[in-house]
Amino acid sequence: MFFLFALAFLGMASRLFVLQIVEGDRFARLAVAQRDRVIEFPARRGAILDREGEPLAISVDLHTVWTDPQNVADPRGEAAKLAPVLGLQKRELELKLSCECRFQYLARQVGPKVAQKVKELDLPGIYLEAEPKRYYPGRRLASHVLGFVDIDGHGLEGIESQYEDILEGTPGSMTLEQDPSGNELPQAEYSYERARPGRTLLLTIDKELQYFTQATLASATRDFSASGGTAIVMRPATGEILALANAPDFDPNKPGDFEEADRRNRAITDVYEPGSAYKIVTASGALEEGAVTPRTTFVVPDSYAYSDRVFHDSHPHPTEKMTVSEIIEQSSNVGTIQIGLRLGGKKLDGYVRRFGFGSKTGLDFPGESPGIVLDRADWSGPTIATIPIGQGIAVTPLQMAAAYSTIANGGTWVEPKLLAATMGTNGRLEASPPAASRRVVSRSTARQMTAILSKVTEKGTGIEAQIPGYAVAGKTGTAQKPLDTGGYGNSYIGSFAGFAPSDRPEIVVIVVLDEPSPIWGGSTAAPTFKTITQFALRHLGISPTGNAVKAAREIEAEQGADAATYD
Amino acid sequence: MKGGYASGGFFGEAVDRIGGEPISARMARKAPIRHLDPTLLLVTLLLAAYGAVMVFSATVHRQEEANLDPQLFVKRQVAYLVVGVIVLFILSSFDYRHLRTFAPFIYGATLLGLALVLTPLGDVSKGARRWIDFGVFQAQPSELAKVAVIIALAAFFAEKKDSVRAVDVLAALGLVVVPAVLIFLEPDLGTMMVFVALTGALLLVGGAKIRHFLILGLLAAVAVGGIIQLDVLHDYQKERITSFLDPDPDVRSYGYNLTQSKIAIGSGGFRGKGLESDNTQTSLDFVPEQHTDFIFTAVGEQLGFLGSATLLALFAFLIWRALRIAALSRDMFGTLLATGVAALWAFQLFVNVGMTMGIMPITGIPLPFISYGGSSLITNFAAVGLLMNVHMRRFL
Repeated sequence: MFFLFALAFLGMASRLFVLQIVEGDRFARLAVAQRDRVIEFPARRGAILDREGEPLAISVDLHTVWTDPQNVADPRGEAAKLAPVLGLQKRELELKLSCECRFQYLARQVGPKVAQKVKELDLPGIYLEAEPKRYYPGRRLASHVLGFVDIDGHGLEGIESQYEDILEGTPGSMTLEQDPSGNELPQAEYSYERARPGRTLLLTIDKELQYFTQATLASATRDFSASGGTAIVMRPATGEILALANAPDFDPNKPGDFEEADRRNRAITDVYEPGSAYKIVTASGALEEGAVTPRTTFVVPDSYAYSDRVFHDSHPHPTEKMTVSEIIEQSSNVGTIQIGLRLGGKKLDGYVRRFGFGSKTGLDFPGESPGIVLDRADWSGPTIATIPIGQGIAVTPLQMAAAYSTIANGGTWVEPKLLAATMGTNGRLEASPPAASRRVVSRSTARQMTAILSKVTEKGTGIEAQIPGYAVAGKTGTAQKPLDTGGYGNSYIGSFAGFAPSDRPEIVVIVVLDEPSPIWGGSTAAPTFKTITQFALRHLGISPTGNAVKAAREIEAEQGADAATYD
Repeated sequence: MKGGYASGGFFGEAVDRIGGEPISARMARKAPIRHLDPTLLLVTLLLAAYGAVMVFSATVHRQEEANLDPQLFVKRQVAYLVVGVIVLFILSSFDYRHLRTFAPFIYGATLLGLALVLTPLGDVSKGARRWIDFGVFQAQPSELAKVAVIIALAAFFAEKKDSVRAVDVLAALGLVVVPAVLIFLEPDLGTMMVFVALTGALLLVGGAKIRHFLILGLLAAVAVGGIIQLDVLHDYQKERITSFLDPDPDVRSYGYNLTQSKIAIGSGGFRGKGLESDNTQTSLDFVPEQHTDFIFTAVGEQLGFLGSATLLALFAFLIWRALRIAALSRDMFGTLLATGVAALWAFQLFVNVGMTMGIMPITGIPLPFISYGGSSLITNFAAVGLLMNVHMRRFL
């Protein structure tokens, strides 16, 4: 018995020694840590403006109404006064006010009028706390670019998330000592740190052009019963994205009301097989390497067996002689495959990568996809035949826009950008660094490609992309969507990518429609491209191509036709 | 005296002369009052005073905050202490052997008290019925029952002398089971476990054989199995027992008690933060129930390793004193009483201090002499009275 007691004492003493002597410092720190309470005041979040300084996302001061029920003397009476102001049920409110707790939200993010009324009521145990709320005045406008924030104002998607560090600012803080109920200690030390507001972002987006692009895409998606779509308007020389729209879209003021699919920035995060629009890579590479000239002729049947596959042109035709230019104009698969074969797999792969496919653009947008490009080592038999015509490769709409910008730029690939500048509270702008660029093909190759792409809209598959008064260069694409199981199904992606005016390109536009009806890019994406580009050219004040008188007559003619339609 | 026997002739002379000195002188030398154990009294009063100081320290800030008398708790504790000293003297004033006769009555009265608690007369506090309200004061019969059970078991085994049979062990068990079940129903799991420990100690000293313990061990295993099977434990009891294995600092869980308790003791370091210090775990009321079951955390934080180790040393001395009295006792009853008291303190001390340091599960057992509470303090003084009684009459 005595031995048992001795053992127990030894146990207690040694445990005491461990707690107080060995680990004493650690526990002492824990004791201080749980007394200190850091209260953070969120800094005012920087606004997001368009290139003209028009607000796209701003923060407004709202208030949160909360209660410490321990300080509420008369829950029933206070509930009766508060209920009409907050627009809540009296019973529900009374329940919250009589809770056995020290903190309870009553209403979050109420407007200034409600906050004022609550303040005037001056009820014991009812408190107001400033809580800034992010507000997107344009609602759905540029929603995919902007992204959205959580209830605490932290960026979750898009620009809001990408530039969180810049927008957020440095929160202010107050450190104070408190007892377990959260009461401040009167004689305690405390420190105060002022909040530093976040910087405002100026985007390259043009609010009006964005609106028009978004509206046009939405109606095109509807008109052609497409399941979705993307449109991008870019300045080729600088890489600035002027408009970027996806359908469906969402309202970032209430992101929770929308499906994840609606909130995804498909232009940047989703990949598709580009089909014929991709043929510019094959043609540019072959021209640059001297494998062909625009006038080089090929004998082109309407179907062609290569490796284990048979490739068809989109429409049956007799075997004929076609120049490189004609092959692209008519978007012949068989002809393009022959050009690709002449260029060779190794060189073709080199141009795929130099045009920016298979890697992120450098825009660094959250969730950006690098696309899917097979390594040379993984090519199978037919790969050398599928890649020239945009099959067996997956790209983002933004990558395609950058590739067309390369031709528009005279052969220089420019990194796309969305951020034009940042601005501090002093109002001084700090421009973002110019976009990175690299030469992909020579100026003359780019010129030859431009000539070919101009013919596409003059007399090839892209005639519906013609714009009165302006010369337009571009290319259609109609690609079967690959199935999850491998192989291809019966749904298509129709696209059109191009630039205008073709002799001195100012803007690049790409339109991608998911499962449109009819399936052809030339009859769905091309007219949508036309509508957006035409507006963009006028909006940006870009003068018509060539002879002004001739251009004016063309424009008048179209307006006359329109007038006839509507009269 | 002398007159009566001196003239008694041969017999009187002989009786008077046994041992070579007058009986009167011998009687005087054996007089109980000459065999007080002053060190026992001293260490008891030291512990009680230590407790009063800690009760004050653990309650003063909270009372001030609530604009109540900051000395309220310490005043009451000192009043209990005074009552306790009176009880001590009463319980050492008569020959403890009379208790053997009264044991059935004491036992019966205790059962009655425990049963009353469970009736609507009992006061409910924090979900348990443990008190009887007498208007001016509240009594916690389960505290008093500890001493009553020691007396009952001691009386029972003293009857059996050296021949303890299995039947006797079962009968003794029956004596304990009735109050234990009543207490379990309050519910007060901790006090019930104290009873189990007491029974074990008294069986051991009372002459139970090894095989009896083996059978009891088996029975205990069955009982524990039954408790688990029938799910009679409340969720909070299970949680307290399991939370010390994996403490969760969440305020709403029992792990919070333990975490705060360890932080308090640990942060005291070697010298402690001092009784007057502000902004401590103690003064800020981070540790729940600090003036009662978690009083040791106040000792640990404010007086550090020095103060805590001193307190443990005082307890070691007290328990050694009790064991010494058990060894010195003239009869089996006294030995059993003293052993029971030693086991009572040792078990409560170990479980209480152990739980604040995270080596024992959390149960509602007070720290003898230190924790705030009249029933507990008075009961412990009564136990000291019994010890003193046995010590004083070891030659009679």
